[in-house]
Amino acid sequence: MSRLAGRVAIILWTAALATPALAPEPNLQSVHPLAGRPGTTYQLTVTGTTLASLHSLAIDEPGVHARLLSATPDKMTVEISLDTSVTYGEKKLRAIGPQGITNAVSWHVVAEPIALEKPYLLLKAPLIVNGLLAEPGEADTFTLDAKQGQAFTFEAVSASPAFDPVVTLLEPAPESWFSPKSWKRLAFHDEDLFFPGLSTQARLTHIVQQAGQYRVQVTGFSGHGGPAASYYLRIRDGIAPLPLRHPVARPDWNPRSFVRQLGPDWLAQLHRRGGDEKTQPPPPARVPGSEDGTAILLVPAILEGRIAKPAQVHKAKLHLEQSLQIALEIETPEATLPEFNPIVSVFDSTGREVATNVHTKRNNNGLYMMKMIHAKTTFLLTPGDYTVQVRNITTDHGRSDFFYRVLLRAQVPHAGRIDFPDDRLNLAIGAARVITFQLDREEDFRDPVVATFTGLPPGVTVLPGADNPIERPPLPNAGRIERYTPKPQSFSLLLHVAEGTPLSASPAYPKLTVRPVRKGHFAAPILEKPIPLMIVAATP
Amino acid sequence: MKLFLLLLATTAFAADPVAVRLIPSTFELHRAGATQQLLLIAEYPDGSTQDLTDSAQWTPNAPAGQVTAATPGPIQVSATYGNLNATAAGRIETAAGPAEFRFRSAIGSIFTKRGCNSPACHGGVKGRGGLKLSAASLFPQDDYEWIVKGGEFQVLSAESKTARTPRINLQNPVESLLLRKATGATPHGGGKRFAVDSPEYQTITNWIQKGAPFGPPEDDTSRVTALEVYPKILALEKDQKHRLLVTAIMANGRREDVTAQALYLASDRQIATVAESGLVTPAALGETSILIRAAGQAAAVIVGVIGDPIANYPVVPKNNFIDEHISGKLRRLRILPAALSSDVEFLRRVCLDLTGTLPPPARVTEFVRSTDPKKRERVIDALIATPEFTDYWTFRFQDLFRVALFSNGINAKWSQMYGEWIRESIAKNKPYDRMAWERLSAQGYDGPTRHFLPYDVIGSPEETMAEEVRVFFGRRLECAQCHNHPYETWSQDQFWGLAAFFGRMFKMGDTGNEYVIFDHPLNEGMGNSEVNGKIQTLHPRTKAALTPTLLDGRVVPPSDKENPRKALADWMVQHPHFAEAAVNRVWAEFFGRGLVDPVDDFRSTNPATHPELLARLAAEFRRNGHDLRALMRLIVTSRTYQLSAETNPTNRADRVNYSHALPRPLLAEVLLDAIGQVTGVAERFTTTVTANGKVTQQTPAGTRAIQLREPDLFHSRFLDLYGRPNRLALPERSGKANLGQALNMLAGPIYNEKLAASEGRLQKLLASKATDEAILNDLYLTALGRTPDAAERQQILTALSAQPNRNEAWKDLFWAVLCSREFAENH
Repeated sequence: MSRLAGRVAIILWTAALATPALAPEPNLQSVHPLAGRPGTTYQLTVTGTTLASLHSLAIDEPGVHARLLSATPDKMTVEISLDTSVTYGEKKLRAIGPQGITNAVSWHVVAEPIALEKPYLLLKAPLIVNGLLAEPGEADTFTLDAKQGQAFTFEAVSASPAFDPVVTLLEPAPESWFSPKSWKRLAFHDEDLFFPGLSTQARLTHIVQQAGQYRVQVTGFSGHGGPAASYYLRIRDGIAPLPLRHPVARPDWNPRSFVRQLGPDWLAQLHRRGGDEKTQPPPPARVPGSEDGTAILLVPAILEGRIAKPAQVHKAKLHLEQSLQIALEIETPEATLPEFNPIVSVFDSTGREVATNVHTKRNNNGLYMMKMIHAKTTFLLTPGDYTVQVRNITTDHGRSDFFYRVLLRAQVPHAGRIDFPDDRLNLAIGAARVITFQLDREEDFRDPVVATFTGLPPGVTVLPGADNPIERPPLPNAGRIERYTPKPQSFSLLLHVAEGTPLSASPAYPKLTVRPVRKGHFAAPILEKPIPLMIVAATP
Repeated sequence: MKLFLLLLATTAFAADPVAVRLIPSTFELHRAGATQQLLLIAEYPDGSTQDLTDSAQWTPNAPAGQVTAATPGPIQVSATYGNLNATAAGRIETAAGPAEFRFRSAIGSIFTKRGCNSPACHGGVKGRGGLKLSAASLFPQDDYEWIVKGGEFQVLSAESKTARTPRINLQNPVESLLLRKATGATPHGGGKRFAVDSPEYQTITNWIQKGAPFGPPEDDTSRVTALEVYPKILALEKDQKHRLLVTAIMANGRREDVTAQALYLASDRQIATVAESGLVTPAALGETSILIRAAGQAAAVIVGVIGDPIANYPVVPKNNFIDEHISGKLRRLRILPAALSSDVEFLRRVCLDLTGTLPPPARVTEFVRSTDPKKRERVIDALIATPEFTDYWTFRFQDLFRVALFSNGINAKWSQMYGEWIRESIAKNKPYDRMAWERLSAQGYDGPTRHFLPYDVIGSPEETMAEEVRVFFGRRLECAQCHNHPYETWSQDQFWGLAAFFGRMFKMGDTGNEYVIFDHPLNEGMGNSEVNGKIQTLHPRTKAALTPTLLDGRVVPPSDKENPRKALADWMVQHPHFAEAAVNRVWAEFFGRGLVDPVDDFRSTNPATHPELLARLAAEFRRNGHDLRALMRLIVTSRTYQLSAETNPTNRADRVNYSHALPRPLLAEVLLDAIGQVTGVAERFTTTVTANGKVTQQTPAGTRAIQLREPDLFHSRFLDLYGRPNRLALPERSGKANLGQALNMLAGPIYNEKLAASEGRLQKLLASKATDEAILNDLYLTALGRTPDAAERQQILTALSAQPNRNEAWKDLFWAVLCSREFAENH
């Protein structure tokens, strides 16, 4: 065993012993009231766990002044002052205590007048109502006076992903034979479309047919409620544009998502992530897909079109002079899953399917086939003529926004997505902490990748480490899984705090940097991320 | 009125027929030797009829009304009874000579007539003793091969289990196993079926001697598509007999008398028996049915053995055609309908049936006081327009369509999506055929697609198809999954042909959060070759790949560009079965039983009690664009629906003819809501309870049990005890009382805690210093929809005054009312 390996092993061993010394970290859950207005000072309650010893706040938002007033184990009270110059939008808040820094919770600065919920509060657009469904099954009900033809948009935004609000518009039910003074459901909205990646916020629009008094009710999905069920209700005049049923692309790199953009510099980005900053390939040719299938693709090329009618099938010809490791990528810039589910298949000249973006496997007992649709697949094509076919997965659905973009290109080995789960680091004196990353190696990317922290506080050292690997047995009946998944690789860093290191009074923001190494040279970083870090006392 | 009707019921009186007629009045005989059974039916002044076939004088001579084709040309047959006479015009065409030999009609009919191919013998699932025959010779080619080629039938293979040894002996016909077994010469589990000197023996022997041909294949002139029986409903006095007339309807529309070839089976021989000839003889008062099998088909006749005639049977008012059909049969069966329900009886009933809600006391008073002659119709229209109507029928269809967590992908968002689709459909009164079409053909990610994800997987084609047929056709095809249906004309091929419509259904996705439903293309692999997969449904017996085929035999060619279930949905919603199943299901919601009962068990051996009414309702439903509200309105505005539950001596035993309202237990959810309504304490339903007992999800205050979406998500011991189904299979609520319910009444929280609750109705009334009489009135009006009668009032108030603790006494009385049948039933 080398000397370095021996030291790493020793540190890992001590880390294992030291890890329990870190006290439970404080965690924030939700904020109430959720929205504030510039030029106001108000108190908000933040729920969470292990909050009792928090003593200050970490907030880095221009024009926002915050003061911690009190804290109990599951709640803290904060005074917020918003300058008139503060920008609108989502803000983040963290708190600090002897156990370190908390995660960040979101709250909002809004332009509209704000009211705090109270039963049957009269709503006058524009308005924001801050509400809390403190108990399971609670319903907040407000009053709305409306004129005939008046249009409204109601949006309920929750403070926490765990709370899913629902908005209901009620109208009087004089026709109710049972109770003429009762109210009945006029319109209802949970979320526009329930699907992974899409918002679960409620948004209801309505044009009033008859002048009168209505009621707006906010509830939690399936009767959910509790101290963290905070929300704000926004009431606007008019019908606000319908948000796209389209998930927001993640800010980090995710080449296997249907909503990442295959823009003109996409190939250059791939090369860069492979450590090659010099190659600047020209944008691929764009070829329109059509039902007649006459268009010819020469790699690299982007086939694009709209599956505007049900059962429409677009085709194009593909000619290859030599064998090529192909990457096929699909983008759905407008409608996307689950409404538009593009199926792309490549057929050889005999009509045999040689590639598809559908990964088929058998379930674990091998009894039936399972199918998954992917935004990227890789495969080898030998010289010859091929047909590329694009269609929607159902035969019943086609629409003008079923717009697809299919990129066919030679494979470019590169570093794919990097998963780094922590958004803060609280390190105990004398202890070590292993931080494990996952790197996707795309398209047979084999070069080294290095990761390190810069700007660490004195007394904190970073060392390469090896975490206990998660052993996954090989999947039986997995089909050609290698075509649809990158090669994942885990690697670890170990942060160690020396004895005698002073406790942090405020967080430091060391930067995590990940970069490939190409031909012995560091390439440009592919991930740079500042992370709040605090040194805390070890728990006896 | 009730008394008046009873006075009209008198003992039997003698009367002469006022007219006679021959059934059929016209006929054709197409081959020499063909026969036609004629019936002479007499009509009496009270509208009843009697079969006089065996008492009539026939010209030309037609023993027992049977005419045999002899001389070609027109023929006039006359029957005389006393001074009454009727004629039938016939035409005989014998140019084609004797009937062409066909195995089914010549040999198969013997098997049918002698019961050889009945479900209890060789027509059973596995056959008997190695020999399998199709029920009533539905599949003559199969029967022929098992007899002529021999072999032993296997359920899961088309091959013979043993070496094939013919069951006939061409060299020595009389030594054929077929004949020896049937005559008892060789031991036979079924015993002796016919004698050596019988016509059947001779027919089979002749057939073998001629080389045992099959004859020409079935064509439109020989293939029987249906049996028609006269009469469909037979009312017999104790001392009368009646012949049945069975007519086969050929594929080309030609009619052929098969009365002599048919097999007759009485369901209950203690009520009536039937002879080989089709002569029905009554045994005891009551109602039964007679099953008739012939030529691969089956039919049934309802037989009512009726009591003494009722002199001056009253003219019963009729609100719509439902009453005409119901009254007509009651009159024939000599049953007097109950009187019209009282206003309070009607109001409580119609409120519960249309909205699942008790009428508020003020509405009861208002309704009773109203002198508007149209007040019943007005209240029906008002109820149909209420939000409670939408809630209640959403609940009923969520039951039928199985909205539940585990039935819809184990994802509460999906069961909500599916439930919302149902709610919107009910709220907007979407035509029922459209609802069915949308569910049957659902693709993609919308509400009805979630139906196809039981337990997070796509259900198997056979189970999915069987459920759709049961829900939308009211028929149970499941038996035909493993073998030809032993009682019906459904074959295993038909079953799997229909299942093949669902054979390409797939879900796209892997994580349990994103399944998109689609139909897999046939000619695209979509990665199948990578796991050696094929998209095809195989016949379990023949192992042949199946093509989607409708029950009428029409093949729907598979296409990669078409959703195969659209063709199925198009066909199903236009099929007569669809409308009749729908109206029968809705009818049962209002009467506690279907015209065919159980509602999803239409079959020839389970005939409708009122087939013509069923047909008329279905026709009306179609004419109204499958409008559920219009159908419900039609039903509840009928006088039949509005009859009282109080019986008279003639209808006391009646359970199937709608002569009086039948008390029905309230559905669990409706009962719980009603208890909440009476006690003034609504139930709260919880979903998630954490380990420390903390509730994290609870329905909003005021949520009714009928508004719950997922029975497997919202806990309620009470609802489970009273029969709430989990909707993991098609719900079948028994409504039968059980010990758990009794214990719950005595000690359960629903009854006792609600009565003690300080915010409840009773405690508020007591706190308001209301008088005992006022509290009693309020209790009765709220719970029972009526005020107490004088005797009840006096007894209760006296008993109350004797109790030392007023609060406890009132709690006891409330409890007693809530536990009473009058409260817990709709009547």
